[in-house]
Amino acid sequence: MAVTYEEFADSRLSALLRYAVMLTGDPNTAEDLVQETMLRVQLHWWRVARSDSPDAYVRKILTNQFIESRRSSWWRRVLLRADPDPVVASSTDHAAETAERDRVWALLAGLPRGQRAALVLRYYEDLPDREIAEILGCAVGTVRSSISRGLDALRAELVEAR
Amino acid sequence: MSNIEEELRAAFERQEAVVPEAGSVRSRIDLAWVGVKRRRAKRRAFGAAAAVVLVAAAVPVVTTFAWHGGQPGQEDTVVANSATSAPPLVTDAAPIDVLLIGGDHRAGAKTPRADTIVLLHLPADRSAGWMVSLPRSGLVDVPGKGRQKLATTLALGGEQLTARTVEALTGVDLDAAVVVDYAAWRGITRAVGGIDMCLDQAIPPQDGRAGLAEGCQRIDGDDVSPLLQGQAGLKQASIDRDRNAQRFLAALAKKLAADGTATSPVRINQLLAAAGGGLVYDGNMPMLLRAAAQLKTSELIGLGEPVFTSTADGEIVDSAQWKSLYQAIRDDRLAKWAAANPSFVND
Repeated sequence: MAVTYEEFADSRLSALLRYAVMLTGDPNTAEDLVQETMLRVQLHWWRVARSDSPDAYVRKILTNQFIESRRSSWWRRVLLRADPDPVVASSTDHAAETAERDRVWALLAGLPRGQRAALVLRYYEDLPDREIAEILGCAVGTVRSSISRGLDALRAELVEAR
Repeated sequence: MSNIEEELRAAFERQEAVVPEAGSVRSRIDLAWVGVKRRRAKRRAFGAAAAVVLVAAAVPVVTTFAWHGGQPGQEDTVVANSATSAPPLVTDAAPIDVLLIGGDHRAGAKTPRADTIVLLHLPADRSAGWMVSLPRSGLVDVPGKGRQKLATTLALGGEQLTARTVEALTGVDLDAAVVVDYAAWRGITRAVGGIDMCLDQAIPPQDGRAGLAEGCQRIDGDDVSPLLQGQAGLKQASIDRDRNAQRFLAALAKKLAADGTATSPVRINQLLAAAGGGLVYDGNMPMLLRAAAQLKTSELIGLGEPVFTSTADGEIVDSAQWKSLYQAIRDDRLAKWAAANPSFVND
C-alpha cells in the first residue's frame, strides 16, 4: 500500500471538492458530501488503497453517495436560488448573461442525478465514456445515452425559455 | 461542439468560484473522524452483541470488516435496533459471504494464529447457512507474500490479509470477516450453559489440554479448547478438527435459536460480556442482521474436503474439486454442489 490516507487527502481533496460542487451545485452540500465520503474512505482505507486507482474508487464512492442521497435538498436549493432571480429582465447585458448561465445551472439541477453526474464527468472532468461508466457502475452505452438525453433535455428547456 | 455543451462547460467553470477551500474542509473531516472513531469503539460493542445474534441465527461471526462488493459505505447506523426488529418484508436478493476466523493468542506467542477458517455462505434464498472449512495448512498465494499456509496470514497481516487471501483464492467477494478467539468461545459457551453436541470419535488429551470422550455430551467452557484445538490422535487430524468446529458452531446456533437468546437484548448483552475482548466486530451489521433474520432455518451445513491432498509444504486447496466448490459459492448454488459432492458434506 504505497499511498497513505493522509497523502491521498493532501493531493486529492481540492479536486474532490470541485467535483462535488459541480455535482451538488452548492458549496455547503458539497462540503458535506466530501466529508461523508472521506470518512468512509478512511474507514475502508485498506480497501481503497489496494484498488487499481484509489482516485477513481473514491470518486465512485462520492458519486454513489450523491446519487443515492435522497434527503439532499440540493435541487430545491438551486431552484430557489434560481427563482428569485427574475432580475433576469434587468437592464445590463451582464446581468442577462449571468441569469442565462444560472438558467443552465437550474436546468441541470432538474435532471435525474445519474444524468447530472454523467454530464459533470464528461463536461467538467473531461473523462472518456469508459471511465465514466466505471464510476457510475453502468455500461458505456448507458453513459452515452445519459449524456445525450441530458443534453437534449437542457437544449429543449433552453430553447423553450428563449 | 454544440452550443449547449459550451454553455454547460461555462456554467461549470463559473461555479468553480464557490468551491470551498480544501484546508478548512480537511480540518472539518479530521475533527469528524475523531467522532467516528469514538462512535466506532461503541459500535464494536454493539457489533459483538450482534455477532452473537448472528450465531443464534446461524451466522457465527466475530470481527469484521464491512465490504460491500466494492462499495465501501453504508455504515452500520441501525445496529441497535436491527438486532431485535422483525425481518423485513422485502428480502435482500444477494448472497452473503462472511469469513469466520477462529484465531488464538497462544501463551508465549506474540502473533495470533488461525486454527479454524470457515467461509460462511448465506444463499440469496436464505434457505440455510453453509460453512465451508478451508484447511489452515492450505497452500495459498498470499497477496504480496508469496506462497504460504493460510493460517499464517493472520499473523502476517491480520484478518484483513486472511480475508484478501481467501478472496484471491476463491474469487468470492467477502462481505465481512470475523475473528473469534478461544477465550470468547469459552465465555459464550459458559454463558449459554453449555452446548449439546455429539462427537463421532474421542479427542485424546494433548499439550496439557484435557481430552473429550466419544458420543453425545454437553460441552462446557473448559471443553472448548480441547474441542476446537484438538487434532492429534484424530483419525483424520485437522480434517476432523475442522468438522468438530463446524459441529460446534451448528450446535451453538441451534442452542441460541432454541432458548430465545437471538431475540433477547438482555441475553445478548450477557453473552457479550461473557465473550469479553475476544470477540471483535466491525462491519456492515444491518446487512448481516437482515440476512440472519431472513434465514429460514437455524441449520448450518458444513462442507469440507474429506481427504486432504497433501504436499510436503501443505494442503492443496486449488484442485479442480476445490475450484468447482469456489465456483459454486460464487454462483450461489451450493445446495446443488453439495448434492453432487456428498463426501464434502459434514454431518
